[in-house]
Amino acid sequence: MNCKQSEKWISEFYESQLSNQQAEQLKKHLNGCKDCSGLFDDYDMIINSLSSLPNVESPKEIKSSFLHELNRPKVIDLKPTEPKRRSSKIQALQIAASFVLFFMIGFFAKDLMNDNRIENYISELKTENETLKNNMVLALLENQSPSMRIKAIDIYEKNDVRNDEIIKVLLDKMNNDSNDNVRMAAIKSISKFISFSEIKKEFIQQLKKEKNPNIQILIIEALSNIKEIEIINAMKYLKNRQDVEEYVKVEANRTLKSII
Amino acid sequence: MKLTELSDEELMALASNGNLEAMEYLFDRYQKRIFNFLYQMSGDYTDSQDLTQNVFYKLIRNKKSYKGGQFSSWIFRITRNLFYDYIADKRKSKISNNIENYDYYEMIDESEADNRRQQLNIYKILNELKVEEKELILMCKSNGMRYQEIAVIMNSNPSAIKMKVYRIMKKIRKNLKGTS
Repeated sequence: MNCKQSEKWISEFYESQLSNQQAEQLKKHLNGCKDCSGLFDDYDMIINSLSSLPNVESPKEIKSSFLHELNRPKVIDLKPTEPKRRSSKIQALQIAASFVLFFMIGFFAKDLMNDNRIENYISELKTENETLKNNMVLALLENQSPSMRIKAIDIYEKNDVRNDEIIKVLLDKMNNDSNDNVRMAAIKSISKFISFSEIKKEFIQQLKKEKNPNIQILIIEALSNIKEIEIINAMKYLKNRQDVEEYVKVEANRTLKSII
Repeated sequence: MKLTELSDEELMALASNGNLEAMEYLFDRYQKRIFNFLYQMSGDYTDSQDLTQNVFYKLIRNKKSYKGGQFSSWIFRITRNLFYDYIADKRKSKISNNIENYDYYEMIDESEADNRRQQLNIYKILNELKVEEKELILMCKSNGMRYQEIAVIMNSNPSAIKMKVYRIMKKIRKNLKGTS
């Protein structure tokens, strides 16, 4: 064996690619060749150093952010950049998709009645259908026509499940929509969630700056079921304001008495 | 069968069908290895944390694109792609002089004081290699990956990888002789 062959085999030795016989031949050569045995020692040291590179503990935040991402519900982002034009297209597609889903549920239910997977399958389809419905509501809420926006609120009102994205849009409608009827419809539909602190907070804030008496009355009604110091303060604030209609003050006073 | 007894590939097959628990098991098996690989490559602890997070986010998002094959090759390919994007962002062609960040001095066992100088020299040389060379040598000699596996990750063939590793080893030895 010559030194060139030996060098190649030293490298292969560490990959466990030599046969016993080859390893024996290499050993013999190394015993008699100072250069190659030096090369072998160097390789040995380099490989040992590399294989014992220090391992550090990874930061704990990696796991928590991973779990957060893993359990995050899938949200389909359908925020239209041009609400008027895109929403009608999305709306049409979503309504069509809903019909297809319903037919599919019916079709598969018939053929797979004895299959255990049917329940899971239907629940998956229902979830998907729910998502489509919510997306349709979101798209309709951006429609230019106030009556379409009210229709969207009606559709959502039939659903008792709280959807944070829709609630957020509805709160925005309550505060900023150009049409008072849409604002009132929004208030009515969110008021069933009034016990959630962030919604309650929004209602109180809006009441304090609200100018429309009819909307003031609606908000007072929504808040009247909560017996908390914040509500008392809000009612007192309203009573003392000079620009508030007398009949609104009467309503505020009634709520105040019922709380105290 | 318990999830702990399943292979990486079996777990990933379950994960790609929506089994979140299987995905978490894979995370636990690989996160430390991926983090340390990225830390050794970049020398930056915080960047390695971000990159590791992104590897697993990508794993979650692309779970359906897993079509079998060795899982470790797949996740290392994701890791590698993200790492190269990271380098492109930083406009570095060579990652060097990070030895102060990746504190070998602190981490080397005191009881092996005799080998310390020699080991430190090797780590310095490692940091002076080209990114591709460092990556290859870390995968092969530090992570114990086979040529076949590395070839899949790098879209190459095992004999080409073997030849490259051989050349890099020669280079490390030559540089080592130069420092001593």
